[in-house]
Amino acid sequence: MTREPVTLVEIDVDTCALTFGVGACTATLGGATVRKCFDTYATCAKPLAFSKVVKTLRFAESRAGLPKGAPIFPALVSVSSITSTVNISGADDNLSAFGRRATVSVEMADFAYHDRFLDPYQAERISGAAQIDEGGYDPATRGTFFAKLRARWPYYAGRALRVIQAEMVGGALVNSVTRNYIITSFSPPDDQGRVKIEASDILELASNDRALCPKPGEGYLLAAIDTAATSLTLTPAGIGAKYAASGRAVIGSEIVSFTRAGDVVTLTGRGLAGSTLASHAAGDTLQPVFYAAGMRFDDLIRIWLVDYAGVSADIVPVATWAAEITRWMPDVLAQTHICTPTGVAKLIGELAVLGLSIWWDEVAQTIGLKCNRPPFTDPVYDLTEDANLTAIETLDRDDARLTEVLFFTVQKDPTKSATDADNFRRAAYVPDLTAKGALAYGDTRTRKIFCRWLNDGNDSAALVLSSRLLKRFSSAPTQFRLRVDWQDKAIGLTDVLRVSSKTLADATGKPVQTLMQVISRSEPEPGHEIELIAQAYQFSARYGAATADTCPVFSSATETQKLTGEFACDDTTLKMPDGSAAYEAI
Amino acid sequence: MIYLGSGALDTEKPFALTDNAFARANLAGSSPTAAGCEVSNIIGPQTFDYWQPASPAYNIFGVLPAPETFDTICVAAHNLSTHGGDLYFTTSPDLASAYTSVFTLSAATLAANGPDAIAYLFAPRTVQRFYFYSPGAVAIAPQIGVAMLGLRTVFPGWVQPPYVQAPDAETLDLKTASTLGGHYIDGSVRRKALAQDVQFSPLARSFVDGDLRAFGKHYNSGKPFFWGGSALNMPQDVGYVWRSGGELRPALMDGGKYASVKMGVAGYDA
Repeated sequence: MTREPVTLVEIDVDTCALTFGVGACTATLGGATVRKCFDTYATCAKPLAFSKVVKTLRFAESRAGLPKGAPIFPALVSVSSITSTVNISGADDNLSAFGRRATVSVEMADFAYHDRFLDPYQAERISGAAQIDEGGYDPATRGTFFAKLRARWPYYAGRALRVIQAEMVGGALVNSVTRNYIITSFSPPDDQGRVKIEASDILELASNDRALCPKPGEGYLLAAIDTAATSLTLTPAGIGAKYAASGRAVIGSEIVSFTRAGDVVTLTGRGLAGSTLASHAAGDTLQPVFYAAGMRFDDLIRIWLVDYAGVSADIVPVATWAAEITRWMPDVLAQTHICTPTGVAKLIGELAVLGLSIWWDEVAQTIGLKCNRPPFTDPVYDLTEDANLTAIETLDRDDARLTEVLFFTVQKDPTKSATDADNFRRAAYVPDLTAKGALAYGDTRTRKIFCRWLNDGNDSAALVLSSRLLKRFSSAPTQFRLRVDWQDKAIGLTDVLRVSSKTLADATGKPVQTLMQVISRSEPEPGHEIELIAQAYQFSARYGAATADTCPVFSSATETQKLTGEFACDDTTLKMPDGSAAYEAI
Repeated sequence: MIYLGSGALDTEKPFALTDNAFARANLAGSSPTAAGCEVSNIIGPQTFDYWQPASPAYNIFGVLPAPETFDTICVAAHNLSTHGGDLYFTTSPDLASAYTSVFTLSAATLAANGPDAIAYLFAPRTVQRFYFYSPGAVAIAPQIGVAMLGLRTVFPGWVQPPYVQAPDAETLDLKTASTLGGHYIDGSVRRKALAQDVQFSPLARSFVDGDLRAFGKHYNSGKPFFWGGSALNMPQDVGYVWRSGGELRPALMDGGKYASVKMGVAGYDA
């Protein structure tokens, strides 16, 4: 049977569970309340009694065979969506280190509507019983669907919008894939009756203008303190409750540790972490410090997203993240002080530069996290010109190539700049001498990394992270624009592809399979074709981890052991006993 | 499918039903499953919202302010073929007389019809009250998008070739995909509205200056109506349609006794 793809958009509107003038809703017609509400907070006469429940509005393109039942408004004109773009290790200067958020732009055609689904008092509008400032009227002849909706529901920002791609079979929707967003704008109908609703992925909550870490300090010193002071009092009265019972804070350029009881702060340490002990004036701010003392990166990101950005903990796959970090960054522990309120997206971006990719998976509704590493045991999608590819284009990205990494660590004073080399004590220099050679690229492409996260002087981590960056980017990280049919819709961000195409050949012209990693995904024709932007995955060598003491030698090892373990090769041939390539260190 | 009741008139002629007594009547129906699915949805004109009774045994009572004459009832955007059971329609000529049956369509008949529009043509009768119901033998409540009851406009002529009947008038966008290697991968379609072009045989001037003018106003304003090319000869040709082409412009023919009339319609495709 021929597929019938269909795109639906769902919007969750906040409505009220109560009935006007009944029970907990004590509203009555009279005085300033000249009409019954339209079931929304903005039109509610008794906002304190408003009892929120979600009503879902569904829209589809105008087409035959839509499911019957609750209304599906055939007002959808177009859906333009772009999934988030992953900035692998923050290497693409054209993107923020945190990558680009997934966005969707939905265009609707406005239409006259009788309001039966939207307005519980629709019949009373007609009879006149729902208002006292005018007689009855027919809602179908007054205004249009979206103009009325927007007027009644101005608080759309941040509410859920879902794009559902499905197929219709016998009037039912099957094989549906739902992508989740939050609304960022809802323009009123234009003079052509077109409405545009835009939405972004959930990580929009972490954007620099929405989420700050640490949170801004709201308390001030009631009186001046000198360098010997061991306590201070906060003002205004009661503000102490907004501070932790103990922790670290910064006054001016001095980091202190403290305990707190009410508004009284006992200073248990002064001039910490290389900051300068100083006197402070009355009215100076006590700014909480985000102090990471040996924290894993997965824990850091989870805390920022959940505690500071308000992202639901349900969409953070803690165990998956922990497994990834345990496998690839077990010894990289953050040691730093963040002394000024900083955007969560910026903070996550700083970690991305160290070799993390973070993205929103709109389908699985989870936040993905992956280290800059070889494919290892990841599933690999095989794409060929015969079976999958409808188009392939190679995009040269020589501008993103690296020949050396200069890795600055250990801040002298965490209250000072995190991007000024003068404020760092150490700089690890890791070159790729082969790539720099005169007969190779013969040039220098330096990546400077200012890292305030390894202030404990973890030089080995700096070297490993630099080495991985060079492994990945010492050759131009070629990108590919691929088009595949809808049958390959399961391919998602950061998935690994093994592509066979006559455009990808070795020096003899023989086609070679090329590993790629998906960094962006879009649906130029929803339900029909998918476009992938993939980046060459240059971790194509053979890697493994130290084997357990009980592991047999290579020739006796299982395939799984060979896949995950690292075995010694023949020191003459530099091959494994079966003739395969030797393992490399990373 | 168009079903013919005993005594139905002009069954071989094209017809349009623009009138809807459901919209004028005081309606009372079975409780809906949810807010937004009330019986008032059945008056249309939209096809995307449905009367969805909570029970498979459903009914609608309609009472008109005064008796009127009707000869046609039509239903579209429904799933009566698999939901509800036998369908009954009875009427009473006033507020006191007993109801008499207009038709009973069995569940088997409805199943054979599938999701397509239904039209029932009957001998003109006076109606002030009507009762549209099902005892609900099939244990799933139906959804009905549009029902219309009224006196149809009969065109005193024929539809001329080439003419495509409603069941064959489907339009769809087709997309196929093939790989770089030349292999067929996939095809997908998007079904859209039905599309029919109607060219009538020359219509008498008296009709053109009378009933056609009223129909033309309805058509030109884009309001939907039920259309059938010939109940007797093309019983499958019925649809809930609306204007898709230019205005209805009767062109007088030599001598002015007849006019050439054509129209284009788009229709609801189940």
